[in-house]
This record gives sequence, C-alpha cells and structure tokens, in this order.
Amino acid sequence: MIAFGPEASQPETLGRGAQALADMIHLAPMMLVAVWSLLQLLADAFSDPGTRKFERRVALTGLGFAAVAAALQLGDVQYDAGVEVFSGFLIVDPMSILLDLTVLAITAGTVMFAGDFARSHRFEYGEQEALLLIAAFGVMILNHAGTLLALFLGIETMSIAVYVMVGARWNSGRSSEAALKYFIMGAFSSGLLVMGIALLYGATGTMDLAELSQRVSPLFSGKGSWGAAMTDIVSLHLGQAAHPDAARDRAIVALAPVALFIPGVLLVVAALLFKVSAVPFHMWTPDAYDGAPTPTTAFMAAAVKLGGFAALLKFLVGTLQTARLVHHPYGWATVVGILAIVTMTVGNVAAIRQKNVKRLLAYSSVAHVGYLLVGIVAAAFFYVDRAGGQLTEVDQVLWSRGNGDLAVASVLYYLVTYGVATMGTFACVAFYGAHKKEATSLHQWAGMAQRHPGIALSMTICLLSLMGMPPIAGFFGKLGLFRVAMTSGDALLRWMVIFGVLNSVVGAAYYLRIIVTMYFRPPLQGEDEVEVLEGHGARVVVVVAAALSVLAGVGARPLLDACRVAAAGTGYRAGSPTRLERVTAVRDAIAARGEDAPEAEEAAEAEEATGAEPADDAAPADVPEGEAPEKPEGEAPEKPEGEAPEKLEGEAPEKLEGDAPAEPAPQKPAKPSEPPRP
Amino acid sequence: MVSLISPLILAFALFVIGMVGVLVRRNVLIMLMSVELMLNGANVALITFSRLWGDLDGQVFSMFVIAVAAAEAAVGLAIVVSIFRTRASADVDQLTTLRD
Repeated sequence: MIAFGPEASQPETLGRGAQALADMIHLAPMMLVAVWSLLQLLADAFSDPGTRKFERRVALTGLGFAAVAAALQLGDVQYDAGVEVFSGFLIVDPMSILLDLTVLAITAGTVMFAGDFARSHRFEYGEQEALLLIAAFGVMILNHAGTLLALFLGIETMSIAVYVMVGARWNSGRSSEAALKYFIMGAFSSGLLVMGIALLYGATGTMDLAELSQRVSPLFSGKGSWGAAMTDIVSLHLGQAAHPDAARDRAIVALAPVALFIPGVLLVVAALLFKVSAVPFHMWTPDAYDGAPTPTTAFMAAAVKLGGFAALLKFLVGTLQTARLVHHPYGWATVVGILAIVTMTVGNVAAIRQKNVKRLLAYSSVAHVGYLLVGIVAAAFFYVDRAGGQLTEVDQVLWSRGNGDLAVASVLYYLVTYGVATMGTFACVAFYGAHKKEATSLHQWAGMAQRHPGIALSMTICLLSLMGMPPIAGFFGKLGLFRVAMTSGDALLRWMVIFGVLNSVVGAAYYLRIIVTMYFRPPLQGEDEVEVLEGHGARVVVVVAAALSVLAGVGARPLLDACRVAAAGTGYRAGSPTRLERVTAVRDAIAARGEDAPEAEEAAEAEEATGAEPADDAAPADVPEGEAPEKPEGEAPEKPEGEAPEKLEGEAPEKLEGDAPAEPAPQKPAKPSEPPRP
Repeated sequence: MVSLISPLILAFALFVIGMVGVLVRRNVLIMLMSVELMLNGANVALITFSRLWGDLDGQVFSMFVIAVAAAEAAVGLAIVVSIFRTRASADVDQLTTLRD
C-alpha cells in the first residue's frame, strides 16, 4: 500500500493512545458538548443564585464552540465515506454532522428562553442548561451510533435528562404528573429496546450495525440458511428426505436465528416508535408535552424526535436491507407503513378538537411523525431493491439506489425544517404568558397580532411551514417526501402518499384556526389580558425560526444539497469505497451545477423530477472534460458545497446570540450565488 | 456444560413477568420494579447469548444496562417522591390532571 500524505499513513502508525486522541478530535462537537455540560454544572455550583444570564452565556458559548467544530467538519471530504471511531462504536459521516448541527441549533434555541421561562414561572434551577447539554449529547450519540450499544446509550442519555427536565417545574403538579407518565412509558420502552437488542445479538452474535447488516442477509436470503431450511422442510413434507431427522435438525438450526431475529426487530422498532411517538405508542405525548415546561416541550418535539429518527434511519434503513425483512409477510415495512397512515390521521383528527395550543401542537407533532415515516418506508423499499437482487439491470439498480438516497435526503430535509419551525412555535407558546400563568388556551391568543405584530407574524410563518405552504420550507419537505414515495410505484407507498396529502389538508384546518384567532379576534381586555415573558430570548427564537423557515424555503438549494450529500450512500459500510463513490458523485453533480449556470440547473431539475440518478452520475463525467484543467481536483467539489450549508445551519447557533433583525442580513449574499428557484 | 436453554427460559420469564407487571399493576412503585425485572430479564438473555457466541459484547452490554437502570431508577424515584408531595398516592389511575 502506498501512502500519500500524513492522513493516509495515520491509522497504521498511531499507537492506541494517539488513536484514541485522533478519535476524540473526530468527535470534537460531541465531546465539547459533553465536557461543557460538566463545566456548566461546575459553573452553576460557583455562581450566585439567580444568575440565569450568566448560565445562558456559558451554555451558548459551549454550543457555539461545538457548532464551529461541526461546521468545520461539514465540508471536509475526509468524512465523506464515514469515519469509524472507537473501533466502530460511533461513526462520523456527513449525515451525522448535519444532524449534529441541527441539534446544536435546537439546543441553543432552547437555552435562549429556558432561563427566562423558568424565572418568570418561578421554578428557576441551575441544572437546566447542563441537562439540556446532556440531552443534546445523547441525541448526538444517536446521530453517530455505529453499534446497538451506542443506540441504547444514546436513547438513555437523552431520555433520562429529558425526564428530569419534564418534571423540573416543582411548583406545578402538572409537571410532575407529565414526568411520571413520560417516565413510565419511556422506561417500559427501554426495557423493550434492551430485550430486542438481546434477541438481535442472540441471532447474529454481533452488536455492530454494519456487521449485523452483513450477517443478516445470508440468514434471510434464498441462497443462505433460509433457502437451505426451506429445501429441507419441503423435502420433509414430501417425504423425500434421505435422513428425516438430520433434515429436521438442519432446518431448525437454520431457522433458529430467524426466530430470534424477527421478534428482536419488532421490539426494537416498537421502542424507537415510542421515542418518536408514533401511533399506538403516542399516548404519553400530549400529556407529557402539555405538562412539561414549554422550553422542554420545544426540545422534546424538535431534538428528541430528531434523535429518534436518526436511530430509525440507522436501524431500519441502514441495517435491515434484506428484502424478506422489509416486505410482506415477515418484514416491518407493511406494519410501519400502516402505522404511519394511522399516525398522521390520529394526530390530525385529535389536533382539530384541541382548544389548548400546547396540546394541539403536541398532536400536530404526532401527525408529522406519520409524514416522516413515509420517507423511512420509501427509503427502505428502494434500498432493499438494491440489496435484494430483484433488479438485474445496472441502470435499474442505480435508479433504485439514487432514489433511496433521495428518500433519506428528504427525511433529513424534513427533520431540519420541522425542527426549526417547531422551535419557533413553541418559543411563541413560551413567550405568551408570564408570572406563573401560561396562556396556552386558544381563546387567550385572540388579537395577539394587534399587541405583538412581529411575533404573531413569525408564528404565522412557522405554522405555515408546519402546514406546508408553498414558499416556506415545510412545503418542500413534504413535496420531497411524497414525490420520492410516489416514484416507487408500490401500492402501500401510494396509499401512504394519498393519506399524507389528505392529512395535510386536514392539518391546515387547525393551523389556520390559530392564525385566524391571532389576527381576527379582538384582544382580551382588563383582567384577562395576557402578560408576556420578559427578556428577549423567546422573541429572538421565534423571529429567527421564521426567518430560517422562509430562507430554507425560498433558497432551498443549499440545504437540499447538504441533505443529499448527507444521505448519499446510506446503508453502505462506513469507509467503504462504494459509499465514497456515491458521496463524491453527488458532490460533483452539485459542484457542476453550481459552476455552469441555468442550463445545468434545468438539467439537474429534470433529472431529479424523473428520479433518474444514473443521469446525475453521468453529468459530472462530461463536465470535468472542460473543467479539470483550470480547477484543482481536490478543491472544486468541496468549496461551493461546504460553504452553503454552513451559511444555513452553522449560522443558527452563533447568530442566536446576536440580535434578531441582524440575522437574515449576513445570509443574503448566499442567495444570489445560487441559481434562482423555478 | 449447562444447557443454554434454561437461562433463556428464565430470561424470557422475567421479561414477561415484568412486562405484564407494568401493564397490569397501577401502583407506581410496583411498575418501577416491573421495569427493573424487564431489564434484568434482558440482561440474563444477553449474558446467555454472550456465552453462546463466545463473545464478550453481550456481557459488556449488560454492564451498561445495569448502570443505566440505576440512573433510571434514581430519576424515577425522584419523580415519584415529587408526585407524592402533592397527592400522597402512588396510583397512576389518579393522575388525571392532564387529559383531553
């Protein structure tokens, strides 16, 4: 092996300690958050009581450092194929970096108004910021998880911190009741998770997700032990087996792992659906969201869900790629697909009846889980077609692969935009009401637009984004998910899309009701007049969330590109050449489009519309003939790509510290550089 | 050599008892104990499979589960105490402040 440069020779020459150090540097954002949560606790111990501004500054500084570290990794081609750290325990790849940035932004947003809220409602406690950082750390473990152990630890780190935050409002019985309900359900689901993992481990003998994926395929494929067992069973039935006892034993031995594996998958999926609150497991959601302090609710709705979906993506889409495990009658896709339909319907129908804004938004977040599951099922269908060997033509395989990546990219885009809009809406809920009186009843929101026009407008934008109004981010999220699901042509996915679209219409009803109440009802007078939270935190978050929602909608390109890079090659082992190839192809396609203007853009659009990824791969092949001499190889694909997402994502946490109106301004230059949206 | 079937039966029995306990009993403390039973059932299964495969990952995992279960119990009991302060009852059916 020939090693060029220091990076290439590193893994061989480093000792164990140095390797650990290098791994820590790969994980810098996560490690910073973890260490900072401890520093935060320490700072709290030595600071005077009631210095919430100091706490907030400390937390934001730490999150800012972590965001800078993550932003630096974002454009780095070193992570394109995914880097395994701590012997594959965690993985750093473009997807995890993108999700990390989102989580950091969400956490920063929560920190912005958590202190003010606690102060105003008289339950200030110093551990708040530290707990938020610990929960964020848990979500980041999930983003990076490379083994089942990391999955478990991530979920628990996140959940335990959130249990405490839900119950932190000691002067309200509702808060501790919410915490208890959430805790019992959460602990139960973690019991299911551990048992599920034990069964998966029993079936395959490994905890590593990539290894698991490889060992599962032969178990379930016709050529592997499944096929052999079937041959034995058939011969036993026909009475043609030469040695019936031996044949029976062989069949049992071959099918035993399968008998462990399928219940294991069901248990793990159930536990993960608990965490994202999909329907049969959503009972805790409205109660926990309603009773928890609003900043915690915001964090749960945005970050915890994001962590849950990162885990679902890794486990369902990235690991279980055997056709028999996905499709009817043994697979999970039909079950999850039907649950998705039920989830959106139940969420929306329950939301319509709500008169309490917090509960309404809780049910709406349940509905959004349904939409996101459409993307998960679609991605799994496409990836399975690749691995199942049902497609023989090369271009069919490429098409399926490309669409799988596109489905994952849509899920990521939806997660990011949903997270931003959700932060905005809950910040507005926190903003409205003060001094131990929350204004969560819808009638109290009457005439808000007259008293607080800016906040009402921003809230409207966030709600429209959740609703899926065209120029705003949420629309493109839904569009991407539904379009890629329709491409598949599978009946189940068709039904999911039909229900998804119908449900979006139903959803509009209750989002519009809030908007109408804010704008067209006379404000409450006298005694009933609602006070608002003192401090700027909540206002800034609402306005920034609205600005980002518009920005991610009007200028969807950079974020969408970042998501496509992040999604490319999901399901291939970290560090594998195929994965690198996929990511590089996407990067090149994006770079090529960025350089030569509208025609390329049109072409790329057309490609995407037809879902023809192979053509996308072909595009860079003819471009470099003209480009290569002038552009140095290493830089060209990296630069325009790395820059844009930083603008969109990396900005959020740092900018939050500054002023709200100044926020959109520095992002303006990003827009002209990219081609106009059709 | 002890057959691996007996510990597995123990593991699944513990798990099912725990699961039924959480679903059927209404006293918070008993529900908490049932969750612990579920986790310990899973631990026994993990260790059995670890022996089956001659691989230490399962045992390491069960160590982590024990640590996490302790953390979870600490938080859970704290929540129960805070509920007790306001209500002096540990029955989940009486927690009805939050509802549609």
